[in-house]
Amino acid sequence: MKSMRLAWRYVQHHRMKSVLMVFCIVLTVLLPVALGILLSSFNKQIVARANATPLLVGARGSRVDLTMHALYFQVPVTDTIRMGLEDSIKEFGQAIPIHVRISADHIPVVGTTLEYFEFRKMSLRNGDGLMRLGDCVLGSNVARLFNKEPGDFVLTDRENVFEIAGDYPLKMRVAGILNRTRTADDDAIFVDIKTAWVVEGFGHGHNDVTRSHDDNLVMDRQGNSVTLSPAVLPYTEITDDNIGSFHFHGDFAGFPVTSLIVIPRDNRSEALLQGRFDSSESVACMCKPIHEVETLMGLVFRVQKFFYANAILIGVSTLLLLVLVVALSIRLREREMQTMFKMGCSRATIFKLIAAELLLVFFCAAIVVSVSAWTIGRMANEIVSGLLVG
Amino acid sequence: MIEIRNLKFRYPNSGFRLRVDAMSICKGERVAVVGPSGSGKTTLLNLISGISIPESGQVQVGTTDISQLDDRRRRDFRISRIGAVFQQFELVDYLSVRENILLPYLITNVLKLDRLVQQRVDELARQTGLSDKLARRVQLLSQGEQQRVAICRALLPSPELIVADEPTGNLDPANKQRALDLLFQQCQQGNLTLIAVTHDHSILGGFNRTIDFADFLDSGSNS
Repeated sequence: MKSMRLAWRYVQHHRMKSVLMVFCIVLTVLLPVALGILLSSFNKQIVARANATPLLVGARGSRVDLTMHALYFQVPVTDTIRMGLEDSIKEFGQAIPIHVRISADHIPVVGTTLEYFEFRKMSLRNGDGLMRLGDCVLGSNVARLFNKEPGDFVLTDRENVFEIAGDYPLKMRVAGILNRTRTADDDAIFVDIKTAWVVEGFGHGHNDVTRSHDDNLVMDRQGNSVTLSPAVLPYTEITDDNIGSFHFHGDFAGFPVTSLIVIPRDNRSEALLQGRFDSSESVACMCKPIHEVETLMGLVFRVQKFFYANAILIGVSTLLLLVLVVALSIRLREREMQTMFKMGCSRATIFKLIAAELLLVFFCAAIVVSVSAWTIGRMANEIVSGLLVG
Repeated sequence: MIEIRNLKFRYPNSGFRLRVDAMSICKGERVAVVGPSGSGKTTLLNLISGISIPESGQVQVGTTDISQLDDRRRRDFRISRIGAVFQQFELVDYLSVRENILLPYLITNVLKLDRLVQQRVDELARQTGLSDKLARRVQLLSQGEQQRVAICRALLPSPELIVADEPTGNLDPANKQRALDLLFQQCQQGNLTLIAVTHDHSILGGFNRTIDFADFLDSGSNS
């Protein structure tokens, strides 16, 4: 206890040196600990979501990209599959379309069906579900980020600002806000698949411009024929008045989706489906997300081993530096120790005193590491979600 | 009080030899040890304090022959019965004045630190004019004040012997006198034996006796 008192006074007096030593130890220990916590959380999250998604169908290409795209809506997909593929899957199970080719303020807008919400066990925090064309529901993080409530509007991003003749952004009505799920769904905007197709130009409505009150928009009016300036109509909006005029050109089966989540009826159905999509003639590919995620995580864990090996080396060099600091400090304190010895202090007590000082430094470092690790552990889900959804 | 007989000492790998055939210092006596550098004054203090061990002979302090004690007992004896004052004060810079005075109690379990000891610190500080400086760090004190702290530290365990190695060597004349007065006064009050090594012949008047190691160098031994 007496040694601890003296040690505490020493550590307190040489606080700069002590803080630096604590900082060195904290950095050396915390980095691999934090990485371990984050990777574990990352692994848990990604595996949980992959496990909850039995099969995916998408355009031929990277299966990892397809998995990350369908699960996290992040990886951009240029090739699409036809919605009609759903019909060929129906006899083996359920297929839920995913369409992620548009965004709103760089947040992915996911076109899907109501089955998706049921499948992911998502519920509404407030407002309603997707009731009509042009409605959207916001993930909890998006609602917070945009500060939107049901009844507000969200505008999709224009694909090309210089193409006046192109598709206009859609002004979507926020129908509801989803409860927090701590998954990528919190960071997405959900619309009905048909709404997504409207944004892509597969469907459109016809506005009754003869009833426009703003004469500034009118370029020419001849009887019932009115020409309106497109330059001043920066977006499309689906309202109660014009919803009746919205229609699609073509068969839904030919419209694009970026992936299909497939929930097979049983193992046999799953095997049959995989066999069907495995053929080289198939225009689409099927993958089991958990396999892709395990492959990905295998690679991540291999990299982690290198990081740990590096951390061990840094740890050893930090330890050697600490030994050097302590050795130099002992040399500097030789007179103090000699005085104590002359007064009747044993060398063991002097050793205990130095050990107590080191113990205090390590104890302080352990506290900082523990608190930081606990905080990182608490925030791991958010941090990892942030990393996963960009 | 202190009896030295047939004492022989030499440092390993050194030609230095110290021989004291007989020396006796009475209880309460104030003895100054003078002599040229390298004559063995500090070595004698170390032998009396049990810091160094003689090759042969006897060093008896009170009823204890310290040359016969093992390491642990010698240390215990030193910390509880001998107070040491050093030329450079040798205070611990990261401790307060109070903690420096308490240092003998903080570095051993032989001395028990209790409320009475704390009261004695207050009393010593009052006597030495350090009452208002007990919470301060020693670095902030003047040289004279630091030496007073060192004297208080030596006196706190109520030793029967004070050994002082150049106790006034680092002090200006005013502080020198004040430190000596304090030492003499405390030794007189507690009937403590004082052995002080000094080069300063101007302070010898305050001592009962002077042992001059120059004589020892001439004769080869000090009797």
